[in-house]
Amino acid sequence: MTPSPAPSYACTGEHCITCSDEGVPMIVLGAARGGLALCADQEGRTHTVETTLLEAAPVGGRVLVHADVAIAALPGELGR
Amino acid sequence: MKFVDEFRDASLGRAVAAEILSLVEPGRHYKVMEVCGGHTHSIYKYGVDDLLPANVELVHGPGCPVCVIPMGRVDDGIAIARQPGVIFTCFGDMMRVPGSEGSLLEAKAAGADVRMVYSPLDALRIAKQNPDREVVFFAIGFETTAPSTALTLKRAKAEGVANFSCICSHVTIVPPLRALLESPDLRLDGFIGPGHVATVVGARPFEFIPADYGKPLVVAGFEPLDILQSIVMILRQLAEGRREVENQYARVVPYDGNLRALEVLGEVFELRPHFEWRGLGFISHSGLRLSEAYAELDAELRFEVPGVRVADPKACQCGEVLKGVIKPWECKVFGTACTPERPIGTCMVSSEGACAAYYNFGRFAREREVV
Ligand code: SF4
Repeated sequence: MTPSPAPSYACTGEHCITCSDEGVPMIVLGAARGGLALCADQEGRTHTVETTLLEAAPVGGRVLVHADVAIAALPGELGR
Repeated sequence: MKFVDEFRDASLGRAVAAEILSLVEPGRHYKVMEVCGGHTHSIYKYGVDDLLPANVELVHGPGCPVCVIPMGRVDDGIAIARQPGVIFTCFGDMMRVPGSEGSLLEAKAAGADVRMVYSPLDALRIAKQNPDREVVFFAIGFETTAPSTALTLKRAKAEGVANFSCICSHVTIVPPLRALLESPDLRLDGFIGPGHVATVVGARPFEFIPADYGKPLVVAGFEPLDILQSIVMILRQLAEGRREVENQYARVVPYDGNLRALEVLGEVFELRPHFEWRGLGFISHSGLRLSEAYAELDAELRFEVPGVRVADPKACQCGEVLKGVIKPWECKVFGTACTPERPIGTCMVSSEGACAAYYNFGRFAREREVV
């Protein structure tokens, strides 16, 4: 299944994060301080992510992030 | 990328498509609504509907929060953005949604300080960097996004960031689904449920759909195979006479959702008695506002907003598209007066909107072999 080309006009990349109900898989790089942890997405970009909604967000763990908030812990490998 | 590749494998996709074919009754027409705009986008991006038999029709639901924002709400945002000293922040697609006198992007071009952010936390950061300015965040989105706004408001309150506030247009998914199911002009056989909304609220809130309306709902992930698999599960329920909520996306979605997130939502927000949805009208208890405890951060109380209901442009048929009554190309202005560059209706704004998805992926009409 090959994706069609992304729309050229899009102002925020391919998705609107609210409308696409987007969840971005990330890996936790640093322990949370004040509820915020440093995480990296699949492209290696780093983000400061609120992790207070998870029971635990251990370094090396994988999380699903929406609008800079981790909403779920993920098993296994990275995926959308 | 093993995880993702597995869910985009073409040969697996064809195998699931064959299973779908084996489950459909010839001569029966099936209408399945994908609630979420992310599913709509994936379906057209990967050509998922090309793998379906002609008698399985996908109908696009109201799950794109940009698409359902009424013009009056955009006008309220613009009225705040135009106030002197205000930095108005919102997600990118929200900037292009037309109000009665243009969009936030046009207000920016006319001099208002409107800035795109990727999260409410970004907006709070701007507030901390600009203590002499009022920073307002235009909060939109379903239950996936609302926790992010809620946590940011909690943080703003705890840290005493007094120049930050929020105009809240968060919406909830269950009331519009109930409104759609009550709609006499819509016949549906089942639903593909929104995967990441369900990460927060769980699958349980959708149980009213089989219980009260006798339709199956399958919570689904966003990869092409997730969507095809969820269609198999819906068709299998129909074939076996079962009507249940099933969770295809169990690798991410707990059946009861994220309890911490639900607790935060309950603390920071309360339900509005009514909220207007573009094309769907007023729906009871379908929108969120800030709770009494967070009223000091409510931009609608801090600033004067018109709060006026504005009728959609006459040519706009977004309501029918959002209800799945017509396909985007059946709207008279689709691809002519209404394009992603110059949208008349909101369904053409976000790439998750049904009209934009059809336009971008060249779906001007759909003819397939009948099984
Ligand atoms: S083509 Fe434009 S006006 Fe017509 S339904 Fe789609 S978004 Fe609305």
